[in-house]
Amino acid sequence: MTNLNFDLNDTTTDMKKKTYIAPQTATALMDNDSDILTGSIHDTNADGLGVGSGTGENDIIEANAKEQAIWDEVWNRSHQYGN
Amino acid sequence: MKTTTCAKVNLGLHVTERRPDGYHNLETVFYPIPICDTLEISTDSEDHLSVEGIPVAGDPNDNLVMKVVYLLRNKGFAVPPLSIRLQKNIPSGAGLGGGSSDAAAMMKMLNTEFHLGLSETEMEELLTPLGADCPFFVRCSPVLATGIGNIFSPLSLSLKGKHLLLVKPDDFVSTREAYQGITPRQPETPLAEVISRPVEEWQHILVNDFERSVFPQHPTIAAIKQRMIDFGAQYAAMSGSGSSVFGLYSTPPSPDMLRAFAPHFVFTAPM
Repeated sequence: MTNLNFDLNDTTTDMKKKTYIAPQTATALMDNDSDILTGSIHDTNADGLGVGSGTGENDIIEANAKEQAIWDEVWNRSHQYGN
Repeated sequence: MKTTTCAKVNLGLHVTERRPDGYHNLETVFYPIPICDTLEISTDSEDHLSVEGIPVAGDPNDNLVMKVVYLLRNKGFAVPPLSIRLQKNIPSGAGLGGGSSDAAAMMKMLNTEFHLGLSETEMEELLTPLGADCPFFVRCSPVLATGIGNIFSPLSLSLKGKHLLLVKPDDFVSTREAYQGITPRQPETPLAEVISRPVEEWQHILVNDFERSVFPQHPTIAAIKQRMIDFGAQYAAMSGSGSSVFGLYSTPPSPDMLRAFAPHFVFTAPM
């Protein structure tokens, strides 16, 4: 899956109706302690640290690294002509 | 071998005249956006296309990636039987050029993998019959498109720093339907001049003519655009003949904003 669905509250199974958030935006939202990343992160995190901790975060970081390479490639190709 | 494609949005679109051959001349700007499909190929005993992700209607043999394979073979290029895996993340029928992008990516990948020796210009020429916007995806760099949307002039336009919000409702807009309500006209200000102004000034001067013909028949699309503006978009518009709508923002869309569009396909990323 190239584009990750980071909204863990989005349980939609219809691919045509899902919410996709690019890794960079997801990171920005996470930095703002946004509730877009609640759901299973909070569910798997009993240490009270809130968003950005627990198993969910590890999943996201791993996915980010994998997908970031693809996004970087698209980005570089889109901007290689002096844009 | 695996590759990613890109998609585009139209920044403004003027239908300028109807031609004797029935086509319309237009002017628009194609700008690449970072939502992508992935294409993977491997040699096999016979051709096979599998599509994952967003469902694609129709016969696989009619898929543009297969048409590229057949086209190259018909031109005499040695392309062996292929197993092709297409991961669709770009919605179809959205005005984002997803199918055209897949076609261009396929040709580029085959050119590299099987050493076909095609230049970018040659690939653009080969792709033109498959769709007016197909050649754009060879370079995937901003262009002013004129003619029937197939004559490209490079633009030094950058939206870096902006944040894209893309929403695609279920509405299907046929190209015929979009053109039916259009009265071709020459714009008061050429698109190249409009696009050179700051993004913050675009909303009332950078126009997609298809909005006038599509919005009355598809109020959902019009409502999405208005909601994007209400949420503070610096610029929002329908892409091509729809049905996707995009907004450009100075900051990442908030979770509340994303959820406001949640009944539809929603995508957000920095430009």
